[in-house]
Amino acid sequence: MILLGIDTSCDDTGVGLVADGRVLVHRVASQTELHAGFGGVVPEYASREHTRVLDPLVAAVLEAAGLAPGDLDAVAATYGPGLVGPLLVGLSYAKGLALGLGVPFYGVHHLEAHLAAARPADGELRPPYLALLASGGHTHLFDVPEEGRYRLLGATRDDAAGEAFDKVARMLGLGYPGGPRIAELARRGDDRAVPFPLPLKGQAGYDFSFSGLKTAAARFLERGYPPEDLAASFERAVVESLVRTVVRAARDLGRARVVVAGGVAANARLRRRFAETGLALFFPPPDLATDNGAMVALAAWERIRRGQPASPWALEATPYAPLSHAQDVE
Amino acid sequence: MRVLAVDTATPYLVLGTLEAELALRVDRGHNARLAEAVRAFLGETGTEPEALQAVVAGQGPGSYTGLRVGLAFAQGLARALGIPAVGVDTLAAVAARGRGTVVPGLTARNRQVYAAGYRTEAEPRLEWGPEKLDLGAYLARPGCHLLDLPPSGRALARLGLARLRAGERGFRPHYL
Repeated sequence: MILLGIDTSCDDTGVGLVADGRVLVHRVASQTELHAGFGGVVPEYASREHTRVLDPLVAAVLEAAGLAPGDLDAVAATYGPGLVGPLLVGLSYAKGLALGLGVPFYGVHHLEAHLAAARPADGELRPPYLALLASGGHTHLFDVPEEGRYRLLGATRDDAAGEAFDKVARMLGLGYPGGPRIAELARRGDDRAVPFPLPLKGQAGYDFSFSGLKTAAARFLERGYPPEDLAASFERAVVESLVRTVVRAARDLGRARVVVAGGVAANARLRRRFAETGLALFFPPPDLATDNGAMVALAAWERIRRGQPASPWALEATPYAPLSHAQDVE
Repeated sequence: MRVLAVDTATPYLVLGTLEAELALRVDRGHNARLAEAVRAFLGETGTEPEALQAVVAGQGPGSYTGLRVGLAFAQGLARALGIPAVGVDTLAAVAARGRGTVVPGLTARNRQVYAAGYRTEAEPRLEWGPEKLDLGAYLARPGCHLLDLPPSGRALARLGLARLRAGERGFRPHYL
């Protein structure tokens, strides 16, 4: 069974092909350069770019796999959360493609897609498990008691983890995306040299908060701490906050397995630190950690395998969509 | 030739073939209504999607999100069927509703009207514009004013077919 997945939730156009849960080809057309001069994503420009790029990208991905549109058994696209204008481009295109082919259309929740990218295809990961999603737009911790069910344990109260990396990277003049740039600089620094506080220390719940670290970074920079020490200590503070909260939740709920997904899952220190915890860990392949189309097709494939129905043609694009509602839209 | 035309640039959802047309007032509901409306419309006209030979989409001027829903849908449909897609100016398909000197206009932001002047005999021929005008200036232009009317679905299909025969392909979206 061959599925095409589309993600246009933010500033990247992602298209991927999946055959029986295996990624055949996937490509991402990045708009980073387009938005670089604005210090953030301009939704209107992002939408225009998706409209221009999406169809040629679908053609290129099909060609790279040696497939024709008629070989597709289903079409999937992200319906939310994300920027509504960009989401509508992918969603409308996918509906047109599915309708023309006479195949089912699946609207996929963006976070469920990230989780699907981190789940091994061989079914080795069985619930219950915890799922941490950390990217430029999200920092969420879920409990997954059974397949397809998500209980939100905690989320960031302000900035997303990746967003904090981006902001501190900009402060240090490192450019975008911030995560890899900070990690690079941090390798030459002392991760204990700058006394960053641990966010939300002593909290009973499982929330996150990163804006305090960002403010502290600005203060420490003013005081003349070397950038490499600042980068290393900041990275350590973010990683410690994520790992300790997950470990505490795992202990409290008696979970032994953790999926770590989203762009921040690519961070080497985070992976090293998680490896010390004794938890069984599941990371996405590095090229599927950030937004892409293959993960959308993978999530749709899982839904098909669970015997869940296709989405209605009337499915709307939604800027905010709790993952606990992901199952309500079928 | 079996052509399906789609226009989502105005508050209406407009569909057309060379023989039939449909205009639904949907305001901002283009995405939610489009796919189901296309299925119903094709069913009503006895056309299987795979029998289509070309897709035409109104390329505006229109609201950002509404316009793009139709364009993206048309692109996906054309890709699925391996058939050409081409854009038509939405105002031309509005002008096709009149005869003689016709001045179609669509309300834009800041109480302005996005308008163009057409001479419509057999088919509308652009005489001036499109340009943004104050409402007063718009109404002062000579001709029959067609303000905020949906484009004609049949005219979209016809004008699109003419463009395809002239060798044109693809869209040049025109955002308000």
